[in-house]
Amino acid sequence: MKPIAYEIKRTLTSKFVIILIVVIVGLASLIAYESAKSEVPTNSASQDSIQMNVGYYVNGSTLHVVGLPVNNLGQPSVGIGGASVSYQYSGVTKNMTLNSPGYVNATFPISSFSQHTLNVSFSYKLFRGFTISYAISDNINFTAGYSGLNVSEVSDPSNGTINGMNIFFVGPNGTSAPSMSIYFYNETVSGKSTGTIHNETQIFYTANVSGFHDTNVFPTFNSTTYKYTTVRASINSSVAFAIPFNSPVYPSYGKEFGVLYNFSSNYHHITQSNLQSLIFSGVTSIITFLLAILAVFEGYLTYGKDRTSGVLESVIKRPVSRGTLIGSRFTANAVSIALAVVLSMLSANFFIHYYLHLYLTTSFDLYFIWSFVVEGLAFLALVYMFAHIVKSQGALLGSAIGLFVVFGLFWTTISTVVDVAFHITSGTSAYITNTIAFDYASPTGITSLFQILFEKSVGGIFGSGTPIHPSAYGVTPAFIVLAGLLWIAVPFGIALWLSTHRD
Amino acid sequence: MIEIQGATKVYSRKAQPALSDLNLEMNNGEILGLVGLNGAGKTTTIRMTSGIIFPSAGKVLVDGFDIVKQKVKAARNVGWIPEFPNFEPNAKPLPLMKYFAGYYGLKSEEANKKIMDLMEKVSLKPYLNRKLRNYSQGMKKRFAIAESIVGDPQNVLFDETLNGLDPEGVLFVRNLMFELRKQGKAILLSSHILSEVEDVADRVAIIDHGKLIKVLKRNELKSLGKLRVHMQIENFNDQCKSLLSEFGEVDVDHDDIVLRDTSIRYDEVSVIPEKLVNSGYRIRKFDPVGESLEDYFFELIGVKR
Repeated sequence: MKPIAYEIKRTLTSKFVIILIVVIVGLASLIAYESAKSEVPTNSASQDSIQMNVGYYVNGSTLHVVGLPVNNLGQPSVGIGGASVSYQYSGVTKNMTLNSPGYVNATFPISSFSQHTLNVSFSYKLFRGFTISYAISDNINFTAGYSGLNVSEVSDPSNGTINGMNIFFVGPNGTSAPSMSIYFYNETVSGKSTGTIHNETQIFYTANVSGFHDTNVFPTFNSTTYKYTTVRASINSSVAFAIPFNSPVYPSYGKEFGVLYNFSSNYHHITQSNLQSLIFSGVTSIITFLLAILAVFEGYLTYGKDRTSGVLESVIKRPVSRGTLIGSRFTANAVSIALAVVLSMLSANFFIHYYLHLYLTTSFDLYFIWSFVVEGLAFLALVYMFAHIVKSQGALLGSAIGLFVVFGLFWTTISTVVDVAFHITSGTSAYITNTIAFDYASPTGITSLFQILFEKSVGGIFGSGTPIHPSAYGVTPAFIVLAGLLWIAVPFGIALWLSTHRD
Repeated sequence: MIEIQGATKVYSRKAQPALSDLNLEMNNGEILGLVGLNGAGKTTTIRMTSGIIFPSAGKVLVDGFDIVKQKVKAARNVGWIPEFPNFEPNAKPLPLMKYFAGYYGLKSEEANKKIMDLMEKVSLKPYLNRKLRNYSQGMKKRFAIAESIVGDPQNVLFDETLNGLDPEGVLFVRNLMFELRKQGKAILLSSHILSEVEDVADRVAIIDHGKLIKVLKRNELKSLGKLRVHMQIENFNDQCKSLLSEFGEVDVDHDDIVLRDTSIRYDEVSVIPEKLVNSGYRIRKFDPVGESLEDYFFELIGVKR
């Protein structure tokens, strides 16, 4: 067995390391999941929700009910492990189970045309195992003899930044939809969920569709222009009135033939900055904290403790140089740190993509991984250095805990105390300089500098801090890389020198 | 072969050197005993020879390689069994041995076979699934012996290895040392049980306060200090006692006669029986012995017992 392979295996199979990696990746995943989920537009069906499109038509004395469950991407879906549907009309109940996506139809005899109510109960299993149930009612229009159009909001599966419309149509005797136009327009009047289009010049996208029972329409437009604005959609450019969401539209082909659905402010265009903000606001803080614990105690348990207790002597006596030995232990520890960071990043990316259909950019991923690996390795190198300075296990453990407490827990507090002591006001140039100086002076600061570089602000989550030009305060990629390398190289270099020159 | 040349070790400027200008050789096919009181510098000598600590001055050559400057080559030829073996407590013996074997470039199959042979040899095969923290001190010592010779080193250093071993263990270590000597390896045994060293060593180095006091060869061990002769003489009488008095002080206890504080050397002792026989005395027992190593040791370092 190659000694380095044993060192890596020993590190990765240590209970402490396993638990910490699981906690880091688990918490990063949980935070990414919650953050990404909360970014999904609130009025639209969330990623894991299923909605039941229900329509009908009347043929003689038989009521034909047509149902199609779809997910928020407008794709036929039945949730996890199937769904169950119950139609109830005129005292007759029909229960059906859907094990695969598709239409679920039923027929009822019509004993009296005064019976207008069709009740639908629908339940499905959600992501994470929860069961969701809901019931809807439809008022059957025996005069028209069919349900017509249902419209709901969905997300574009190929681009999570675009919302669109799922259109479900049941025509006379179950026929498909006639030709119609779908209009998307920019509405600057807030709070209007119904009403006519106020200014037809605001129409920015028109789609012509026909011959469908179920289809999706996704607008293509300049996302920057319509970011954070109210967007409305209509199937008639001169809509006279609108009806509530998910209610049938009676096809009278006149001014009544229209539906207005309000995307409203939930039509939140997701950008890379939003995604990065999600990472900075949640995942970053937890990894910064936990990675410091992993690195500090891993360094203590696999190198420092072995050195101070004499266990390392059983290896030093082998045909291996001290430099190689310390290098291989450091490499093994570094592997576990890199593994924790990469897995956290992968899982964060997975959840973000699952909910928002976007990946973080490769450059952000690499910078993120690099800055956290640097933080971990810097803490590791510091512990290695102390392992050669102090003589006892107790002193080393105390030093390791001290490193974590000072740099991992209270560094920001110390920075604030300095601000207060020198009467430095938040937002001033002195404040920014002090904050950045403290970031450069701590291994945990590397990730903060990385954040400043990306967000171009100091002292807050995306957009809420004081805007700055990072380079004006010495925050440049070159300086951050240099600082990171120095944080690793200096303490490790000292440890290496001591290991090869002192007993 | 190991050559310690003018080795000095200073742990603290305020304290006396732990070793001072030590010159010593361990030859191939020889067991060198290293004796001294606690703090004499035995363990420091061994740790320095193993490459665990650096000499403050002087150097240690292992088969011609400097243990500091050519650590990798030198350490390949040294096996060190420490007095208190200390291993990763949570490690199991086999993976740890494979890890150690990896430093000697042993291929997997070769290493596995060698490790199993060694574990069998040190009687630890039934305990392979136990973590080392659950091994007794004696078992740890046996494991230390196995892991120290996994790389088949030319020089093996036993540091107080006999301490804490049961009689079977002592016998095992003693036989192992003889076996290694037979293979032409250089063996160093440090022990405070001087009789053990006396029994197995080809040479004995005595150190005190970090300095080499004396190196004794095996034939010299028999004639340390003044000669003492245990005798039984059938027709012993006062004249006989008078005759023996010429050679030293005579003590008589029933049939046992002890001649102490003799004035002749070990190689001249045949003069005594010759003179007795010529005077008509019949000798039933004649057993000349030198001082014990222990007696000699304390006499040498000036400690009254």
